[in-house]
Amino acid sequence: MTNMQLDQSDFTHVGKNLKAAGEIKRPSLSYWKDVYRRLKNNKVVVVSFFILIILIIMSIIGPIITKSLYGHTYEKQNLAEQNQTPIMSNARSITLISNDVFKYEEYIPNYRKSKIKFKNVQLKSAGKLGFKIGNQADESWQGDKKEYELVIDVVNTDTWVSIVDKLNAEGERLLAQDPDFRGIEFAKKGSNLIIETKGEKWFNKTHWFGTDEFGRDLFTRLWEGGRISFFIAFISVFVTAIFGILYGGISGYMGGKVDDILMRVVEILMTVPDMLYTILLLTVMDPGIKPISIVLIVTGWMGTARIVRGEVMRLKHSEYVVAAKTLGADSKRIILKHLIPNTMGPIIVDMTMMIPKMIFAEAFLSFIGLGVPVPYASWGSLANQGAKIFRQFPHQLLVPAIAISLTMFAFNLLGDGLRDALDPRLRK
Amino acid sequence: MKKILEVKNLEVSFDTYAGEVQAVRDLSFDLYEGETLAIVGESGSGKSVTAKSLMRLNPEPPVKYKGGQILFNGNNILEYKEKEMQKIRGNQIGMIFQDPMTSLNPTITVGKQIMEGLKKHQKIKGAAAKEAALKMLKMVQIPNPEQRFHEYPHQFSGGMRQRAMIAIALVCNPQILIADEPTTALDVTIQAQILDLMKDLQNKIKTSIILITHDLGVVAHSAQRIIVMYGGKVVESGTTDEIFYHSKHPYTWGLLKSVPRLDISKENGRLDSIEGTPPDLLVPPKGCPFADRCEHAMEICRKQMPPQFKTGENQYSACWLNHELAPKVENPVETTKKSPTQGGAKSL
Amino acid sequence: MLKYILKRLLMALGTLWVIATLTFFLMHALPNDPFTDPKLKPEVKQALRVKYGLDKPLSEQYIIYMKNIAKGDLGTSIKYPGRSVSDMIKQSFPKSFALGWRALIIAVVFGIFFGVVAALNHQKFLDYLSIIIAIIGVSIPSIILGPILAYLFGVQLGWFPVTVDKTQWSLILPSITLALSSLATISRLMRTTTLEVLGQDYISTAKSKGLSRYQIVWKHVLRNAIMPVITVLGPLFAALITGSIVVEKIFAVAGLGEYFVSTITEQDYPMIMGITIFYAALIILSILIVDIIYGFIDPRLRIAGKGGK
Repeated sequence: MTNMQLDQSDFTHVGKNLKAAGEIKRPSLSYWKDVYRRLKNNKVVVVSFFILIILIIMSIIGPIITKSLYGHTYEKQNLAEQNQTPIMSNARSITLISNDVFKYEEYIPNYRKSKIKFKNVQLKSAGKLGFKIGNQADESWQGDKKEYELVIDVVNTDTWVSIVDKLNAEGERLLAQDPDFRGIEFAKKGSNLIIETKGEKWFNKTHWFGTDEFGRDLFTRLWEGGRISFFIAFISVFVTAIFGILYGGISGYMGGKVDDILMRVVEILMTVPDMLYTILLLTVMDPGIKPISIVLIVTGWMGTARIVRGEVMRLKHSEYVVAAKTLGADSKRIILKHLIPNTMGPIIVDMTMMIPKMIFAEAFLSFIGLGVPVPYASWGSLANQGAKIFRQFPHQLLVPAIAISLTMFAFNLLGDGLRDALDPRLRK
Repeated sequence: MKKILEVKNLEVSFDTYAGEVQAVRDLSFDLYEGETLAIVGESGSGKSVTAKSLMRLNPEPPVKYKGGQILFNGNNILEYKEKEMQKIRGNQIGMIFQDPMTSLNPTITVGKQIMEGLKKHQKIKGAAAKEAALKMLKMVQIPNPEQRFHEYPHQFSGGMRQRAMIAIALVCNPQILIADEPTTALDVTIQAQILDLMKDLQNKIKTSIILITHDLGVVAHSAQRIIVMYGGKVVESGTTDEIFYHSKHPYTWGLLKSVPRLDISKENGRLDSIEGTPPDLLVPPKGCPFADRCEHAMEICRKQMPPQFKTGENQYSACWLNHELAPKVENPVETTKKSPTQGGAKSL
Repeated sequence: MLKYILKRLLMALGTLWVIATLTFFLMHALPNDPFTDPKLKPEVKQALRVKYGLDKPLSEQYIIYMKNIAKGDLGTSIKYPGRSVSDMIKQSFPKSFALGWRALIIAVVFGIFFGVVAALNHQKFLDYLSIIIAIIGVSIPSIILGPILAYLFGVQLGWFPVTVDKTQWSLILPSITLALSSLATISRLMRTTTLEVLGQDYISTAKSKGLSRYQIVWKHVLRNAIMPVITVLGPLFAALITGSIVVEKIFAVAGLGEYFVSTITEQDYPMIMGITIFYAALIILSILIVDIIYGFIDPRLRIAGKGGK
């Protein structure tokens, strides 16, 4: 024996220590606590959750804020302030009115035409070269409505350098005459001619997100639309879930013939392309919040019913329910204590995933003109209006688009996170 | 006999959310040509991780090989690159898995699954490969091999699937066959057939077998040597006779007592089981991993890991009871074969 | 197998009949009828009603209509006098279909590719990237994606035409718009199923044979992981068909979707009925075809089918 430190006392009998042997040394958590822990540790879920909370709170208080500050409402029109952008600019638009001088391959304006690029310009001949600065007919003006003309004569000896100099000199002359002109700059970069008018930019203090074609405040309309979109989505998902749980629960719990018949009905209804029915139903009823919700419920409950039925069927034959039955628990107790709590997981995930689907469907209906009637706003109808004049005023589409996408994004991520957290198989 | 596999001080661990689990700790054993070595232990003892380590089949990460060597024909395969490992897998080491219902691909015919290894390692194609595969099917005693060759796994019964699995594992005549719980998922009658088949094939193609199991009953008639694992460590090793009849480790006694036996009738007519659960390898105990469940536990067992005491000709037992200062405890397992004289245990 | 197909075909016909009946009565529940133009004199309206058989009792109209459908006659349009509904569908559907099949191919090919790449790089950069793309795909509705793509690639960069003309080039933007959400759905599903297959025992078996990663993925993973994706192709195709209603509007395609919306608002009875039945038949048929193909691909079902004879 090489081990010297050992003595007889080390070999006294102590026997089993089953308490220690049975002890599990990692933290033991109840199901819901574990779910909560995993949700809390999932940064994506937390961020999505807060994004949604912010969107919902803004939908509630957004219209109130702008009403108390500026008196905006979702329907108040102000034609003097139509199509304003969130960042305002009083730079004037540029229009080519006479050009004997050069050829160009392509003409690229920015959306307010305050900056224009002529691509691959080539000198053609001598003659007049003229621009109109500012345009009263242009719908994208911001600031004042004055118009100016800037014309130069180009002679045969002119080069691009002298032409640009002449143009800039003419611009300075106009500015000296009238400071409201605010200036213009011509430049030749490579083979391109670039023209830009000067102006100030300022944040639109009274209409934070700009205005639409009728001068209605987009900030107010966005959150007013949020109210309607969220309301439609939540109410339809809520009713859908209740109906789906009842239908699926009965089908699954009763089993046998009842189950056969109920599920065959669902199967047939599910093969019907739901968008067709949504559209048809909506034409029967007059468009509005209630009909849209009804239509979404009518077309949406089948999926939930199937999920619930599947879960109930699975649980009904699970050992602990059978055990509860043998122990003499009655149906009510089995349903309340065992089936409902254990089917909650998939149902919650299903509901979370359904909300973005409902918002999507509402937007789709509004887009094809079957949504909420004017002057009400929903995110879908805002996007529809915005899409029509997207090329002149991108913000009118981008504002509702960001809201819709953010909501969908957050709900999808939240649903994914919930599914992972609620799935016992994924517990590590 | 020639040593073909030598495992030296192997340490395997994997990362979990709670920390690093030390699944295999300081594991050493040898495998000789043509023998059957059984690794026995309950679930969580690290035996499956060990089996998979021999072919580097554990996903890396989360599994890490933290120390030691696995010498296959003298080369340390822990240093091999993935490409080099692929040349060994299926070619020189074959493996059978626990559940034949899930270890065959449901969408590929059995014949094709057998030929895959041949095509990869021996570059045999077409008719020659088919012939070799059919020969294999005959060898594992599958009736109507010509027809079965074109069938899918779901058309096979459980026992037949395990035969097909054996055919897949042996098609390239590997030097080692690792069988990870090959009979656990099968009916008792089929179990014996599969074990007999493996023994029969071993004689024919001279392969060494590593049999991983939790069932000592399976081991008795197939293995020459046994390694008993517990808590990621080897607690006892020796020849089958030594382990069955002269075990010097209370854990092995517990395992032996839990095997149903016809030759010995118990007074109460019930099987014994080992109370308690295996240690959590997230925080491995400082002393003997079995101490908390051991009725003979002593002070020292909780404090210090026992060394491997030499307790027989080929037998080593990691238990402090074999120390000269320890009280003498009789092996409580009744055996039909009483050993002649058992000298005092010599320690290392 | 044949028996199974026949049974499914019969069920499909039954479903179609239910849909046709429902549509018929729903449509006649619309508050107005097609002849609402106040300039029309009452007697002219009456004459028109007689001409289109709208003066008869509803049940009689229903029987006449069902008889006509059985003969394959979908009637004539009211808003486009003298043109049969079948002709209108024949003329406009190819334009929708041209978008539909391109979108389907884009969605399937890229969806499967992204899904597999993500699963093979589980919890690594490519996995997260593909998850993000997939989530963006399901989060941006086509009503937003369409105009933005048209603006960016059509107007600003000028790579593609903004509206669909006769060139192949012009179909790219609308096809992508239509495909994106399906692409995202497929890639998510493919990722999940691939991960599931990768965890199966038979993958360990394949690995223990010494197959390379590429061989394992190609021969053992893909085929098994694609199975569940095939089952969703039918409903997906349906989604693409109805989805094209929006895309056709954005990119000014005179396809069936455009007609469908306008006929509903104009209450062109025979057109509504015709297009609804056509759409429903198309969707039911595509789901049926996918199911049959699935039966042929999965050996387990193939045998079950044989046994069912």
